[in-house]
Amino acid sequence: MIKISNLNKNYDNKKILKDINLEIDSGSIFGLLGPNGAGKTTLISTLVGLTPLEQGDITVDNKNIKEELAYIQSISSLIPQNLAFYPTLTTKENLEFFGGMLGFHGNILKSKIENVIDITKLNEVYNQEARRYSGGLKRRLNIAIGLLSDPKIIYFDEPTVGIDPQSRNFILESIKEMKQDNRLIIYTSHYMQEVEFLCDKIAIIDRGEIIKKGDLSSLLIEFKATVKTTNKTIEVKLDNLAEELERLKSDGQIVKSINYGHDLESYFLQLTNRKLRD
Amino acid sequence: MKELYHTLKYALKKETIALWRNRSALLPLFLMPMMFILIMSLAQQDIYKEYTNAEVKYIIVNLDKQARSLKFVEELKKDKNLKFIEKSSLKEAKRLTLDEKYKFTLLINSDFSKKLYKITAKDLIEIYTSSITKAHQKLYFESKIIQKIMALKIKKMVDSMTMYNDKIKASTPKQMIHTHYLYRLEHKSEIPTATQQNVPAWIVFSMFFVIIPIATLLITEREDGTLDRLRAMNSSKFILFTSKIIPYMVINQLQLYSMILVGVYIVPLFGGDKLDVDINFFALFIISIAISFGAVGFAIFLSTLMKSIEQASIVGALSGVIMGAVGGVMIPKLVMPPLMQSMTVLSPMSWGLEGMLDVFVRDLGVTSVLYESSVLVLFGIISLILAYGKKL
Repeated sequence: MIKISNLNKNYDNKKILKDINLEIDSGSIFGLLGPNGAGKTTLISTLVGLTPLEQGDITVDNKNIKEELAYIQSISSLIPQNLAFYPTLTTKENLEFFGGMLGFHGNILKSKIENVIDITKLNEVYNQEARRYSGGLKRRLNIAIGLLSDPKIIYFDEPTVGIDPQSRNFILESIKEMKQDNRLIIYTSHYMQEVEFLCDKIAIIDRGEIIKKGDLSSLLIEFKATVKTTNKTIEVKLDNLAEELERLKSDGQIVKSINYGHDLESYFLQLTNRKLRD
Repeated sequence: MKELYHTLKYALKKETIALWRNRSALLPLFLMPMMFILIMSLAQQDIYKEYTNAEVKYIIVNLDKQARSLKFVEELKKDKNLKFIEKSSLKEAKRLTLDEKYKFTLLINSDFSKKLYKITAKDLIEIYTSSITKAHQKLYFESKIIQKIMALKIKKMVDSMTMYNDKIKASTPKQMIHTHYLYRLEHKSEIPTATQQNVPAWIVFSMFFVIIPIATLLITEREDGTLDRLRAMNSSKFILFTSKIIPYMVINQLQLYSMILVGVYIVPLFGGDKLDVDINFFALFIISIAISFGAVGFAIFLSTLMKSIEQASIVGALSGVIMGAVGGVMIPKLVMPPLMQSMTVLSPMSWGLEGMLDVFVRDLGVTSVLYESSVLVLFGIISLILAYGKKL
C-alpha cells in the first residue's frame, strides 16, 4: 500500500529524515514510534503531501506521490494531534463544512455525516458548539472529520492525548474496527500500551532514522529474556542467555522461569536511550 | 463549476456562522471608527469652517493716541470678527497674549499718525503673538490689519481726488475681491464641514482595520492545524481565500453604512454638522468595494508573513495606523508639505480616501472613482497573488 524508498529530508542544513525505507501493507495497523522530534510528523506530513518530497520516492496505492498527489490525498486522511476544527461551530456544522470541502453535498454529504456520527457516537452533541465539549468529545469530533471521506489510509497522530480512560478505550476499540475493509491505519502515540494493543507492525524512528521495524510480537521477544531464580530476577540479552544460565548454575542458583521478550515501553527506551528529549 | 459552487457555499456558511458566533470580536471594527468620527467631527468643526467667520480676540496698545491712530482704532472696531481691548502697558499685553488669553497684541507705534500717509511709511504697527499660533491665523490677522491701513490710505487718496464730488464713495479692498467656492452640484453652496471630511476618512481607516481579525483568523487556523487538514484534503486556496474575502467585504459594507448613519444622526446630536448624503451612491458602492478588496487581500497576504497571533495583532494595527498617517486619514493631505503629499500615493488608504472624498466632498460620480478603484483592486490582486504563492 505504501512504499517509501531512500527518503531524505533536510531543514536548515539539518537532516530531519535519513534514508527511510519502509513498506506498509493494507489491512493492518502500523505503529510509528519515536521520541519527540524524531521525525514522525515530518514523515506523515510528507506522506499526505503537506511537506514536499525532496529526495527519495514514495508510492501510495501504486501511485507516485509526485505525480498523483491529488489521488493519494483523496484516499488518505490525516487525523492530527491538534483539534483541527472550528470550536464555535457545532458537530453538524463542522462536518458539513469539512464534507463540503471534500466535495460532498446534498444527500451524499448527509449520509456521510450520519455514518461518521454512528462510528464516533456524537449524536448527543450534534447541535452543540464544540467549544463546550469535554476532551474526549473533542477528540471524537476530530476523528469524525477524518473519517468523512471513507479513506483507505488513515493517519492517527496521537489521537488520545488528554482524554479520560473511557474515551480512550472507545477510540482504541473504534480504531481496531476501522482496520476492516482492508484499510491501512498508521498510528503514532507515546502510549506504548496503546501501540501494543492496536498495532500489528511497528517502526521505531529516532533522529530521523528508522532504527527498528517489523512485526511487533517478534520484535518484543527478539531482544531480551527475564530469568527468575530462587532469590533474584535478572534481564539477560538473548545473545548471552546460554552463558548466563551456565553462570547461574555454577553459582548454585536454581532457574525457576525464563520469560522471553519484554514490554514495548522498556524496549522503546532501550532503543532510543533513556536520555531526556525535548 | 457546480462542485465549486457547493464547496464555496459550505465554506461561506462556515465563515458566516463563525463570524456571527464571535460577533463581539468584531465590535471594535464598528465602535472605533464611530468614536473617531464623533470626536474628530466635533473637535475639527472650526478648522473646516471659513476662518473669516472666526472671532479673533486681541489687545491694542496705542502709543500714538493721535487723530489718525484713533481713526484707525475706530475702523478696527467696525470689524465684527476682530474683538479687541485696549491696554496701555505693552508688557501686560504681551503677557496676556503669551498666556493665550488673547491671540495677538497690536502695537501702534508712537509715530503712526505722522507716517501713515507717507509713501515711504514703515514700521507703523507691530504684532505680537504666541509661537503656537497657526500660520493661517497669523496671515488672516495680518491681512485684516493691512486691509484697514490700506483702506485709510486709499480713502485719503480718493478724498483728495474727489474733493469736489461728495457722491463718489471709495470702495474698500474687501469690496474689490470676492471668493467663490465651486461645486459640481449647483445647489451646493457651503464649505464641506468637518463631518463631511471626517466620515470618509474614518470609513477608509476602519475598512482597512479588518486586517487584524482576518490575519488572526488565518493564523489561528494555521496554529490549530485546520489549514493543514484542509490542505491534506486537497482543498483549493481559491475557495479558502474567497470564503474569507466575501464575508469581510460584507462587514466592510456594514461598517460603511454604520459610519454614514453616525454622521447623519449621531454627530448632530452632539452639536456637530450633519453629514450631507446627497451623494452618488453607486460611485460610493464601487469605491467601497474596491477599498474592501484591497484591504482583505492585503490582510490575507500579511497573515502569510506573520508567525503568531500576537505578531499579527501588532503588525496589523501598526500597518493600519501607518497607512492612515501616510495616506492622509489622520492628517489631511492638504496640510502636508509637498514631499509628504507626494508620498501619500504609497498608502492604499490614500487611494481609498481620494475616492471617498470624490464622492462625499467633491460630489463626483462613477467615472471619477474608477481610477482609484482600479488601483485598489490591483493592490488587492497583487496581495492575493503573493499570498497564493506562500504557505498559509
